[in-house]
Amino acid sequence: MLNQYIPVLMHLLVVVGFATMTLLMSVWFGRRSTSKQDIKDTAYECGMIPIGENQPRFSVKFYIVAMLFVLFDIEVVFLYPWAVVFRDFLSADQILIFWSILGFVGILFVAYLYALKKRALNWVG
Amino acid sequence: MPAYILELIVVGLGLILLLLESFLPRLGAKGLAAIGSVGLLVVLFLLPSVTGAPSESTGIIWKFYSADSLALFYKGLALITTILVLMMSVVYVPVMQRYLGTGGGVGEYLILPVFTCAGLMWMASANDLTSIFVSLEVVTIGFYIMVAYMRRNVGSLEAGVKYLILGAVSTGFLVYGIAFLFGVTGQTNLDVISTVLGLLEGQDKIILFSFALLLVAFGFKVAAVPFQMWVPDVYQGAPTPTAAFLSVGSKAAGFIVLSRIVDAFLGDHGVQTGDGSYQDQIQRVLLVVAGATILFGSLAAIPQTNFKRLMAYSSISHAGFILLALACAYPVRMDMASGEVVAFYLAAYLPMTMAAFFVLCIVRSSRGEEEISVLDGLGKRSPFLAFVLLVSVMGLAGIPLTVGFLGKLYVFQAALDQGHFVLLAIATLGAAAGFYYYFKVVRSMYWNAPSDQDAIAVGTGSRVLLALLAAAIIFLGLNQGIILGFLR
Amino acid sequence: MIIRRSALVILMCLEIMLSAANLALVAFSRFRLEAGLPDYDGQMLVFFVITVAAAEVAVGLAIVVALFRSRRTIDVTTLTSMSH
Repeated sequence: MLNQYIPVLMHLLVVVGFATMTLLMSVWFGRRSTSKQDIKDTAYECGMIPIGENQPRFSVKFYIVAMLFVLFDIEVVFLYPWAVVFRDFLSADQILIFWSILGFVGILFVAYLYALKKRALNWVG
Repeated sequence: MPAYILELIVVGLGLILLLLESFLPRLGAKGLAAIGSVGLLVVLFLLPSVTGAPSESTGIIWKFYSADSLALFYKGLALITTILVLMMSVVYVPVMQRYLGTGGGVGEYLILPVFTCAGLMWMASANDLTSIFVSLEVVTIGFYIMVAYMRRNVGSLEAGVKYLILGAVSTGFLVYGIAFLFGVTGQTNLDVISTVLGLLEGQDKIILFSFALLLVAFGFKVAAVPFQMWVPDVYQGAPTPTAAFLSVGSKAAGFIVLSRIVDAFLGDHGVQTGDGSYQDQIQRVLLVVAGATILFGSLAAIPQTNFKRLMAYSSISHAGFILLALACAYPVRMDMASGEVVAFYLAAYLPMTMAAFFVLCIVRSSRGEEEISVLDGLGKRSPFLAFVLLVSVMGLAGIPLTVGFLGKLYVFQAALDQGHFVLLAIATLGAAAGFYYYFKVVRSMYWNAPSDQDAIAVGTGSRVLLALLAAAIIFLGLNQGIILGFLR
Repeated sequence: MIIRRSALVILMCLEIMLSAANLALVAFSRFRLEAGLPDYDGQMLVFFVITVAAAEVAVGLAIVVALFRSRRTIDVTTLTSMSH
């Protein structure tokens, strides 16, 4: 009766242990957010006063293009299995194997037209 | 015509609308909504003529998709809800444009419901873990965007982030639950899983574990305690049509999938109460969740002053009643399975909730806020709106002669048949609390002095729709056979 | 995830959750051999989870960007404008 608990118990132990370790490690090794230490931030004797953004801002355009890339890129995941089973399915159900992928690519094509028309791919402006 | 053509038509309609919106921008919100709802109406009329799976089970699609009468019923609910949401959105567009800023169109807000509707319809038919997951995510991702659509409005964004984070957590639970269910049975089709589960011996703990994970995921979708914390904030922050869509569409689809999963776990052999099997424990968990949901929803609704928050808590408490029906797996007296009681309750819930949110949309677009006090004196200013809201609130409270009463009656009878007397007491308490907090709305409309005397303008289309909804609430309440007829 | 305050990091943690579930699925399907081959149903499900996670994160990032533009912060503990 109790034997069937053991896999679940081990699973729980590993999960809890892993989560605790991850949290503890981020506390031990993580960079502390130092409290405001004005004197430490000022330039010593000479040099530029460090004021301004610490990171250059990226245009939001990069983000949109990257997002579209990820979305279109990940869809290839379905094309590979399709290509693998294509030959076997051709004898079983020709109509399904053809139209299913055509519909899929068609939806992507409409999405592409939409992105194009909404100027999501324009770099200038 | 096989049933899955309907979803294809709806997706195709959405794609056409998307292209129209980007290439013919002068079509405007009204044009898009008109084309969308006409298309969905056509699909609604095609609905009775579709056929289910052929007897010799050819075609791989039927492994993932079922088209029984319950599925078709929920498809109808999804279509009607979406049409109403599109109409509501047209009324809400002026409010929306205020929060969109330059370069943001309102067009996509009218197209997303169509795609979401396809997801809802597919959820109604999903009988495989794969199709359940994908259709659920189609719906959820659509809702992420719709909730956060007013991107210059702090409330909408905040609601969007909350819904996003909690929704993604529930997705994680769902996938993990699916993984364990797959691990223990080695199958993804729910019918096969049900058979395999019946044959397994001595795996109770792991089966319960996977059910618990799935219950977390769907408890989030249907707003069951203790996974209800997102509901008030999201309803309050989201655009009003989206709140209505969440309240009816998302909940209905969540319940059909949950009831299919519960059916798969409980199996056909009935439940022997008290034998300590995992079926028995699942039923007990459902009862506890149902009781907690009714109690929390009803009691937390009492002090609310914001109308949308009030509707949110009332939607939680309704979810509790539906869960109670789901937990009473086999009512004795009426020959209705629990799935049918659930479907009846949801069908009754649709016109009442839609009417309330529709009135709120109209009031919001002319007054600009959503506190209950904005309804002060509505009975004098706009008797028609006040009357529709009165009918809908009466239905939600479950006053006799409305369809809401019948829904509650069936749930009470089912609980009585199963001898769940504690739950019956809790449900009575919840219904009584419901009378109180819905009465606040009525009092505000008919007793409180109006803050100003102007009547609120209502378009002819909205007037007709509202009249239809109010008529449906009363008419369906007098003829219980109609919904049952559609159900079979 | 529960101790993080940045919406971005929370999204990353959610991706990790989904990956964990994917790993479980693949493992279960590997250990259920049918005629010497793994049961591919589970692996097929993994494909869908991966794509859906990508779509989810695209929408999620868009919402976080919109939040940052209007609030200048993505700290989720500041999201308390609604009454309780």
